[in-house]
Amino acid sequence: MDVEKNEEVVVLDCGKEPEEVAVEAACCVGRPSAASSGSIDR
Amino acid sequence: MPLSHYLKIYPLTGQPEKRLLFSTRTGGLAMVSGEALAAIEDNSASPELTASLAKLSMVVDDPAREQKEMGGYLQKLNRLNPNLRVAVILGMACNFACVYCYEGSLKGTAAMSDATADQLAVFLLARFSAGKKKRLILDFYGGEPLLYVQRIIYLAERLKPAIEALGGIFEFTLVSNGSLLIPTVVEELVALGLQSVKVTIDGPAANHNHFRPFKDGRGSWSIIVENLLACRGLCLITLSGNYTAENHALFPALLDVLTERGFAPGDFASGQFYPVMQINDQFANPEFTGGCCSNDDPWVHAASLALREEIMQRGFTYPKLYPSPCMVDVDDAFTVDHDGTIYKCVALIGHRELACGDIWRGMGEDWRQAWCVNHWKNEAQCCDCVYLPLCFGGCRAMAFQRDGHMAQVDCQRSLFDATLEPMLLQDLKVRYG
Repeated sequence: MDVEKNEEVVVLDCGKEPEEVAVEAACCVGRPSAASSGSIDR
Repeated sequence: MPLSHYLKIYPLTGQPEKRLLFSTRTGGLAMVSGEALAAIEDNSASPELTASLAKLSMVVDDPAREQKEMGGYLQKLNRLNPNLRVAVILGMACNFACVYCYEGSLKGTAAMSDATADQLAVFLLARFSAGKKKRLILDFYGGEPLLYVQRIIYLAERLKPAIEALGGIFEFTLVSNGSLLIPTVVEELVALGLQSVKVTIDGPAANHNHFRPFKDGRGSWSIIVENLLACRGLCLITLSGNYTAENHALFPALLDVLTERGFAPGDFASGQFYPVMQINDQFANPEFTGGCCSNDDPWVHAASLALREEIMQRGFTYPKLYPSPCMVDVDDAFTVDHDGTIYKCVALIGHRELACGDIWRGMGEDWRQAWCVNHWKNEAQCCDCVYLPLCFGGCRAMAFQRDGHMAQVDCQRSLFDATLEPMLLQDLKVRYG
């Protein structure tokens, strides 16, 4: 959410550094692109 | 400071003085004025603005160095990864006969034996200890994993105390069709480490029952919905669904029906629908040809965006877009088939030429070559691509099913060119109000 505001920039999402990405990596259950790459589902 | 190589800049309709900035490297999102952006570009920005954008990795000291460092991003993730994450195929039995199932003719009676389960526990504990890992996450697949509840319990009862004795955390998820998901089972599994269940419902009842019937032909929709109602709040439930070019417009109605049946959006950890992947290998159901085998199809762009908006507008949580490396690129992530064979993707089990080793001997020598690890580094288009952190060569399974091999990258440029800006505008409207 809106985490930082000043006169020149409104930060809506700080994003994730590699440390945070690493924690969540390798979960095919819902890779969050628009279409993903097809479903790993049965 | 110059702008990051991994920055996308979009205008905002109705606010001509504003620009939306999105970092593909971090998933960070910010809004600035056109004037502020111009100041950054001509190096006259205030120190405060520069510092704010630097904190978001949207401006960097040296974009060429940033690009070079991106070449080592996955190695860095692997060094930092505290988890050992393993998809476990418990067996190939399923009580459904989904027409598009990627396991196709692999399904049957084969299942993990006691000896294989014992060795799996030994193998995972050894790997967890050697890697000094902090968390072991198992994603149980089948067939239908809830046909193997006793095997799940058998593994969890061995692994949970052993991992905790090592100071780690043990947890697991299920990818289930939902037909056997009942409160007594969920409660028993939660006590053993169950965190979440991904359940697939393909839209309203008639469509779902056509695509995901029980093996005897009966519809499964009503049973799944009743089970989910009964299991609300017991563990996280992730709602999924698989659509085709012909039926994607039906899917929003599912969300309305669920609401009418008493669900609140907060009952689901997230909701996301996907295009069905067209399976073309030797295991595929030859009668099903309605799947998607390319992200370049315009209908996929339009349908995915429309469904994303429908999901978010109804208050369901839709996962945000961040870099999200594939299991193939993560050293401490893999799939163990019911017979103990190791693969690097749940969707490519059974392809013996892609076996990476087994739980008795460990990973072999040649799997990186077989799975084309770092294939994107050979592609100038990838090394220079602004979307690289979101893609890293795309989906090997889709490339394999489409091309018969995964030597070439599954380029997602057209997908992101078509969908990233509208997705961010959706986020601005719905997620950030």
